[in-house]
Amino acid sequence: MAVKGGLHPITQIYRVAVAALGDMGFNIIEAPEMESAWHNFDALRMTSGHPARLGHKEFNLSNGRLLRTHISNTQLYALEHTRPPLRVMYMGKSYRNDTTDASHEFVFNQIECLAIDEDISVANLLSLLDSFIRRLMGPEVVYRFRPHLFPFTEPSIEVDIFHQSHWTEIIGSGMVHPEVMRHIGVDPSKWRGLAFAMGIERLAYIKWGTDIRDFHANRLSFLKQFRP
Amino acid sequence: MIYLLSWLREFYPALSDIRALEAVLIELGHDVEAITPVDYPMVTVAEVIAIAAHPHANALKQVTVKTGNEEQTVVCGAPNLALGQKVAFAAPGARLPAGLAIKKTTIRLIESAGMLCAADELGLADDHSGLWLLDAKAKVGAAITAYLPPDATIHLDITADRGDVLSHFGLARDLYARLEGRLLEYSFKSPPSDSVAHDVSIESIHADCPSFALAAATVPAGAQTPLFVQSRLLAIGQRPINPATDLTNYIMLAFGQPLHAYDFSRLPSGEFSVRRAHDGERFQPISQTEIRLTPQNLLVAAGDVPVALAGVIGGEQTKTKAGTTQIVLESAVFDPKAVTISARGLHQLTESAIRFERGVSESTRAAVFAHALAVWKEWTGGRVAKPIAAITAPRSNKPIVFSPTQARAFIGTNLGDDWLRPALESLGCRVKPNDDQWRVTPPPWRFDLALAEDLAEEIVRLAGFNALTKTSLSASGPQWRRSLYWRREHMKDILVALGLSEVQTYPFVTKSDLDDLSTAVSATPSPVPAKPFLRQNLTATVLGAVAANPQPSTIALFEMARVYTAGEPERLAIVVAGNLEEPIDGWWQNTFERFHLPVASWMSRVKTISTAQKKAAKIRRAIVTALEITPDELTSGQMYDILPVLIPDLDTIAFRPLSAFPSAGRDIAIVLDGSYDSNEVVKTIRATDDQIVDVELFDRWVSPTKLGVSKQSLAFHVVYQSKRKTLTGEEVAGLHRRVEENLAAQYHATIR
Repeated sequence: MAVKGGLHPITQIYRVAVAALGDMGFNIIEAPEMESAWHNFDALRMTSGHPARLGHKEFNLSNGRLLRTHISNTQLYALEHTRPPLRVMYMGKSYRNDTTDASHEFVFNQIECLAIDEDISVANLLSLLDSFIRRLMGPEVVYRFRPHLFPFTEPSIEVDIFHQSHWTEIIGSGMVHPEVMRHIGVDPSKWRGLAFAMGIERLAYIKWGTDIRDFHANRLSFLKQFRP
Repeated sequence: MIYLLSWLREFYPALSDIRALEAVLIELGHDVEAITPVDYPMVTVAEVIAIAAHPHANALKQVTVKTGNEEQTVVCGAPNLALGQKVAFAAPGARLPAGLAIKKTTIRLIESAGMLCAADELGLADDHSGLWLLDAKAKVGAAITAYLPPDATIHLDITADRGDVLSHFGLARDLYARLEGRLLEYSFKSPPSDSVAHDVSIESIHADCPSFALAAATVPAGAQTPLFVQSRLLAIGQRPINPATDLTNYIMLAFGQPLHAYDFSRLPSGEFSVRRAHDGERFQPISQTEIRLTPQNLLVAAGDVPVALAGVIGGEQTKTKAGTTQIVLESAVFDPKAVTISARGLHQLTESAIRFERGVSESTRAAVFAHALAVWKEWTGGRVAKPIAAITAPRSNKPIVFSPTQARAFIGTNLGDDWLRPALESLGCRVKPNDDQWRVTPPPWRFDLALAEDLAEEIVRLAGFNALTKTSLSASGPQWRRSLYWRREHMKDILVALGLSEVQTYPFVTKSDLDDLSTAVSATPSPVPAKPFLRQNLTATVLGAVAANPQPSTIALFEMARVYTAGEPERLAIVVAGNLEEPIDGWWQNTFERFHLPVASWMSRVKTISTAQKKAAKIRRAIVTALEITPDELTSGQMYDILPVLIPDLDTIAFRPLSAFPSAGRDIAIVLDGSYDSNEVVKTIRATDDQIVDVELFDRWVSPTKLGVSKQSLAFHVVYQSKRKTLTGEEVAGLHRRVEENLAAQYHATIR
């Protein structure tokens, strides 16, 4: 049978990202997609009524849990796998009840990493982001850092890349907020943490202009375009 | 929010380099959506070359101006007219910043071919005293923008923690701290204190309103919002309405303090209170239909009648209009949570609510109100009574314990104490140094600074990212390649080499796809219509992917993903479907052999999907087989060492967006010499026409007896699709014939 098979494009992007982060010393851990509201929201400082939580419209589950709205719930499980100093990465699906269009879906893939150590600084974070972006987009990539706001990091920084004549955000990151560190189970007066995350379909959209809905339609005519 | 650069310059005159400003705004964390230069189309430099009396009006003159190559005559009443002046000439067709559209007109029987502009008509200053004059060296015919400081509208996406920059003064203050290293201050005007016929009082104020003030004022007949103010409002997308409403908007956009204006004659009473609504209490917001409130909503009442949803929006019945002669101005601070509940609960996220949600400073409220009242008097000449207020002790920020040494380590910078202290003070913080434990009290207009980490972020914003010495974390060894993830990825590479295509399916299924209803988990709302359940097996959703691909006739898909039973275990599901038994069995045999697994016992684990299940999954192929296992079972027959893992080069992927028009598929089987490479044949077919979007080899066989010793048979599935239309049956047939002809010619192939 001389038929060609192929990997799904999401798998391919994950591999490039995981290889880059693996080289930077991050080890893979996992966490549930069926999550408690406390892990998904409250532990990450998105308490009820908080405007940031209002933007994460969740799917509730019949077992009292919800489908996680972001991969960051995994931070809270880091100490089940290892002890600080640690470098972990995690990836997978998250779900939001958003209106669906060419760049928004109710299920999306993210990869995130978390590093906890005694002396980690914002400067270390910028350096990691620089390495990661260059691995992913090539050494000629034009990018910039921009202070931003996330409930679970302080300071928070987004990375924009310059693509097709405009700036698009591609990565969210920051120093893990002391309150979140305590929920992870780590003493923030002794340890510092950094984290950064990237949307996989978002990267595909930036690179190829793909319609996000095609990734789960699984039509071979679409999937085949991602074979070497 | 949209800002006008020239308005920012009112507070910080040195701002002019727009490109540099954009970079600074980004480093301050204010995302730039757009910067649009302000233009004055059809307004050019003209020279006054003759002034003649107007035959029918003493105060007017007929002015001849040189405008580039022409001369035009314009009627003008400016008191400062003189020969040789360089002035701003607005030609017919020009639209000035305050909305004035210039046309050829006749003024007292004399034609006027345009207008000579005053400063306020150009939106440059609040000055209508005479013509705005350019420098004597200004070039006649040039656009006036060449002689103006650059102006632009700046559209910023401000983060939710920075209510303090949602005003021109607030943003100017943030820029000043970064660029000048000092705190920007402002001298607010003092309030008037006239006697006014109408009277208001403050009765009782709810605890969620720490500061509430009112002032009565008159609106003289014919009062207008100055042109200069109108042009500023228009430039940032705010429509001028009437002077009282314009004042409230102007002050809010200038200083971040929302105000409200009531028409006194339409108020049910002059006795104001702030209270919670009664259950079901009715209120009609401006320009909307009546809504019902609940005790969750804070309101402003006059008498006992609601006249405003506190901090959100005023009432339709009491709003100011063109004929209003007596107004009551309100300046207050409302608790952010109370405003959020009303604004978001009732879908009224107004400009006022956005600011109160983020926190409005009590410390400057009175000064800004006083300034607003003085401005009202300047604009309209109206009389303004002294404000009355009910104020509880203002909230003050708690001091933060800040260690410069720890901050430097946390940020990763060498900035010294002699840089850090002035930087914090430029934000308005009070700094009490004390060895390495400073006490830093944030200013009252900042509601987002509570921890040392918050101050660290401010330092990064003010110093810029270049002040951080980028230091890398130590790298780690390559042993990550042994991890479970890479073992499973290697498994995928083998499956792909066997010809399987990987899919990723939504995990949602119908009830009939479940294994055990009693432990099933469903989602609300249902993400996929009619499929609220989370899958308990992976095969069900992979079957859906098979159904989504009616071609080719034999198909082999796999997915490695979670199922949603306890522990969310990872599964591998392989589905091979087709119309003939032999190729399907062949797929499975190849796969088990490749993984060194005992073929017979593994073949018995492969399930054949029932006719009923096929029908439910909408699959039309005759035979559908599936195997679902835990991924690691596949590698039980083989030891893995350091694995050569394929890391894709994403830049080699040439993705082309798909056509929206339906495609048509045709199969072709040819017999040709066995020496030809099937990949070459695929390329030849593809090259036949642009409308061939896919070619797939799905069968190859040799048979010395049936075909001949040196021959092979190749079968391809060819997909035709146009980007511009749906191809007709005839067109597809025509394309297919050309493919056949091409193959016959190139390879001496016979079509089977």
